[in-house]
Amino acid sequence: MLTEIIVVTSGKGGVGKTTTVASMGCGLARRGKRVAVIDFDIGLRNLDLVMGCERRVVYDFVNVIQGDCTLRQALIKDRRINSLYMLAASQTRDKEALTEEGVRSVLESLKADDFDYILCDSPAGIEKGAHLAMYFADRAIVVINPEVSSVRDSDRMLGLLASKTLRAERSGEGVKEHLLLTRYNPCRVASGEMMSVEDIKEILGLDLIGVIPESADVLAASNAGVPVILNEESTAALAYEDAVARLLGDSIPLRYLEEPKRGLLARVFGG
Amino acid sequence: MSMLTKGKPSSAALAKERLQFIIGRERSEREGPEYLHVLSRELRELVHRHISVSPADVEIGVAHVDGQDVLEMSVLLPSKETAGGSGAHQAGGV
Repeated sequence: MLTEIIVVTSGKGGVGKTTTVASMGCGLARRGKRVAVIDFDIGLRNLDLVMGCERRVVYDFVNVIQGDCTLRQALIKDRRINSLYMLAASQTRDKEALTEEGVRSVLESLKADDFDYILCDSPAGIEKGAHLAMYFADRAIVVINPEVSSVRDSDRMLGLLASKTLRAERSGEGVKEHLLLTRYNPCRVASGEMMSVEDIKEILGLDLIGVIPESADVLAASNAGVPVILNEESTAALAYEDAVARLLGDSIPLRYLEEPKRGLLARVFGG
Repeated sequence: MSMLTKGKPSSAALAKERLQFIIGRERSEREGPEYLHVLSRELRELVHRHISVSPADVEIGVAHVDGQDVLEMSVLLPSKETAGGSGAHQAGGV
């Protein structure tokens, strides 16, 4: 198949981009796809920690661009899933080290190496790193929290995706956009404290590729360096697995949008 | 829980309303047809010709409501003492 480049972006920081890249990358690779996940957050490398391969980073994205090593040397092969690879962000303070030509050549090499999916983990903000993470994308996953600043920033990113990408410049179509809502708390939605899935869809005028329930498992997963999708017992994992299926074209309904039913024991003992 | 929030909109509803307004305005600035810019400017001029209000009291924007774009205009009218009107009114929904 043709390589598909997917940017995971949000504008606002701390909404779950890196968690999403790690889990969706694992999910796609577990389904037999050849996947590369790339950290574009130059100066603030973190995807390696969330993926649990921080001790194995020798070369990074900028090393490849500057010719210090080959792409093969810099790609870190995941120890859990065969067809998953990670390219770490550079820790350099020089933001100019990431160039459009450099990014283009790395992406072209990955395409030539028969990768099915390249997931680009965008830095927060709308500066150069965020621009380059989205510029070559075919698709975009815009990660949102049900919170005003995140929703507004995501709309800003949708505007940039529709104008400041190679696809938009070439065909005028822009990239295919998906929304992924994270930290969703159905109890707080029911009590009117949090915007609902329907509210978000209405405000932004786009459907959701996934809704990840707020879950303690997400923090535990990043603590351990094991992407949350690999925790089979977690609702967050199942919600990410659904999002992966939808990305691949399955049409399945959203889950975990209602308050969990409390069992008799929990009600009696107030658990 | 509904008893607690009865009578006033929930904070989520407030968030939604505020977002719809500001995102509508930002989208129209970003991608709206040229006539919207001209129309907004002329509407402002028209309001100022007839009513003495500060520019901050005239809000014009596009909101996305039930799948449709709606041009919203809100004018905070001057109070009775200053302009002989009947208190502050919101004129909405152009």
